[in-house]
Amino acid sequence: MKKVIFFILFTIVSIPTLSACWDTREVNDLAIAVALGIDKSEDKGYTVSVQILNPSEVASQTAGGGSGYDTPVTTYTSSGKILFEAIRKLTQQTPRKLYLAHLRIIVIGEEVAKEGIYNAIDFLSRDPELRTDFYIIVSKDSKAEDVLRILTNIEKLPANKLYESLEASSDAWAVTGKVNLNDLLNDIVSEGKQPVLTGIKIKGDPKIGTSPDNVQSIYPKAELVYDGMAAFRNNKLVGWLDEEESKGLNYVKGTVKSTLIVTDMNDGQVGIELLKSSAEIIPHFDVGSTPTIEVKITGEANIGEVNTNLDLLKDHVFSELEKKTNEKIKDNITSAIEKAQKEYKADIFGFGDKIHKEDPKKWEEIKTNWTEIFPTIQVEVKVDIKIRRTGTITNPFHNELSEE
Amino acid sequence: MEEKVRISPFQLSVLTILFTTGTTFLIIPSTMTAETKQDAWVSSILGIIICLGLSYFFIVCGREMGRKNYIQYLEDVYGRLLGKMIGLLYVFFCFNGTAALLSYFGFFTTTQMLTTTPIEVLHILLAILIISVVRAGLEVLARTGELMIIWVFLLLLAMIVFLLPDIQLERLTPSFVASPMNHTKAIINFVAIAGLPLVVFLMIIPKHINRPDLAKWNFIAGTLIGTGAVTVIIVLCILVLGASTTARQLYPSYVLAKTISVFDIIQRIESIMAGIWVISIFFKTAIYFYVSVVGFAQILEVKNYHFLTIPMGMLTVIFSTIIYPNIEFMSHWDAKYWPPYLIIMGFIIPLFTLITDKIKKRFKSKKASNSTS
Repeated sequence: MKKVIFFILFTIVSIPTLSACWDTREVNDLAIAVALGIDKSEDKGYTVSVQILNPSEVASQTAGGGSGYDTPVTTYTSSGKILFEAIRKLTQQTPRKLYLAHLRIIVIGEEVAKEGIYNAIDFLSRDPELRTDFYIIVSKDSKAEDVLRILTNIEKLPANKLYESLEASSDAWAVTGKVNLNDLLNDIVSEGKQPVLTGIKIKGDPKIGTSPDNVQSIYPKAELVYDGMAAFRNNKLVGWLDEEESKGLNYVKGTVKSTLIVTDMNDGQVGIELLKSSAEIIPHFDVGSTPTIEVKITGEANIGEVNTNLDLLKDHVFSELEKKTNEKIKDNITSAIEKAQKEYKADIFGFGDKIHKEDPKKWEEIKTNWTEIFPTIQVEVKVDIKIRRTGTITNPFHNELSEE
Repeated sequence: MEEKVRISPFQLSVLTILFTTGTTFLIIPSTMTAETKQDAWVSSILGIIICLGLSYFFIVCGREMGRKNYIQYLEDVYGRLLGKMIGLLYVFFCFNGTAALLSYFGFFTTTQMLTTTPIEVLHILLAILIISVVRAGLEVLARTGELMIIWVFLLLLAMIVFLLPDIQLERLTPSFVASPMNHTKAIINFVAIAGLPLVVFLMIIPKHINRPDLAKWNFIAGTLIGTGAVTVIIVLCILVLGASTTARQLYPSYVLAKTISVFDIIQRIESIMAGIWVISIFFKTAIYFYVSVVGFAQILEVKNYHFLTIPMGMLTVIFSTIIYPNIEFMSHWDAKYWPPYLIIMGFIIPLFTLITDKIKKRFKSKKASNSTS
């Protein structure tokens, strides 16, 4: 009898506690946000633009067919004093409540970046719904809002196109940087390293980019293009690095997976395909009070394209090509370092961090005025790239052409 | 109150492992890295050594107790009244511990997963489980432990393997820079959360072990594996997230699970990984609750403790909703008051009892030899 009563009581308690969950949210109640843009609003607050998935359009196989073309995403904009306020305010416009767990990319407007990104980032790391696997980029010469309003070809979701193309350009061309939230936060709080974020630019007419016309033509009128990297100091954007300098920065950070180096040779060009590279930053403390930094780049490359007369199988040719490649890379790196030291005074390479790791005591002495010391330190760059193979053919066709 | 319950030495090590890892997994990485940054692994290894010493100490205490449990032993040493009063301190300690753990579980779940669920419901859910397992007895709890620990270790192993691609060894540098003061603080925190609560096992060893002679090494091995697993988590947190991110997080190991992404296929599995913490918290809470109920029954000198489980369970649930009014209070209490409280309960009182008992015994044997001669 006792057991029966206990069982009944147990069941009664279990029904309300186990059957339903307070936090259940059905898929059809969610507005899945795939990209988030942060801009300044007029009243010193933030304007947030959110790209929301249009599930029926993404799922349907016959997009643009009988029923006509619907955009795969919709961008909503709203503003508030702080980021969270702006996001909650969006519910006035969106058909459903925003779901942020599937964010792929966050675009920070150039204006916000110039005034400091910390305030925009606190919410992103505090909210339990957000993850850390999205990338963060900065819009260049335009508002983040406009960037999120461009429709793209092939990748239907503009957010996905931004995500994939950032990965591809970082892996194969090495002029962009994949920065996720944890990396950014670590760089912001670190005393010896300043963050860098990749820039995104609208190429073409932003007005046309918003309409389906843009994706229905073979030649898009407006495109999203990655362009250079933004250097930060004390969480404020201080300037941009161009393509070559970004590449130089990536060499030093050791994030270059593969890229191409064009060298001049015998009135023509030779393309060297870098296959792997690694960087080493070695601080030296012996001379005086300011340390010097030695940057060592090593790597392997192949010959990818030869547009000149060249007998590749002669033994001195490889070493000459190597020499030219090394110089080219060295140029990239020194121009990046010069810009960071002279113009932006921002230690985006993490030299300070390295000094901290090698000699914590020395770092304690200099860390308070590192911003002043960094522009004055001597940086020595050593590049040693080994060229291994020549691709599937040996000597170029050029050699035979010239015989005619 | 003569319960004829016996668990095997292996089950004892299982319970020890689950007890040392419960909640420790979740909270210790951030408290440790807050003190010693990337050197937290050094302090946790030092902490392991102290925890091993402590578990040996508890075994020594247990040896003196013979076939009695701790509260009976206290009564033997200090006399009935004083013994019962000290015993009550332990009952309250365990009661408090149960409520605090329920609260931890609630805070964790509402912060990271079920943000709008009323916290009381989560407390009640866990409390129902604990009440039923304690009603079923220690043997059932130990056998459940044998079944569940496999899952804890499988998930833990999976987490380590999945995180290998994200490891950056240079996050450990510069090493050995933390000051001895910070190390001491970190070690005290580690020992207070992972080692000293093991004092509650004095209610189980050696009385409820079927082969007390083997209990010693199994208990010490359990402590070693438990604290070792915690150290692995701490090292992983530093290697993957970095010391400063770890210190900033409330539940760093959950964030660790969140960052898992292997080839973009195995990802977003933190809810499965949460099994590690939920299982170990369940066992830690259950052991605390078991000890508080059995201890209270011992003080009341009743034959059977089962009737106490439901009323005490209800009290625990109520207490758990008020014990920590907010996170700020919780971290303040855990940092300021928990370590000294634990040092008194887990080390000073047992040591004092042991010494008193030894003196008494020597005195007695002298008296006995005097009277015979």
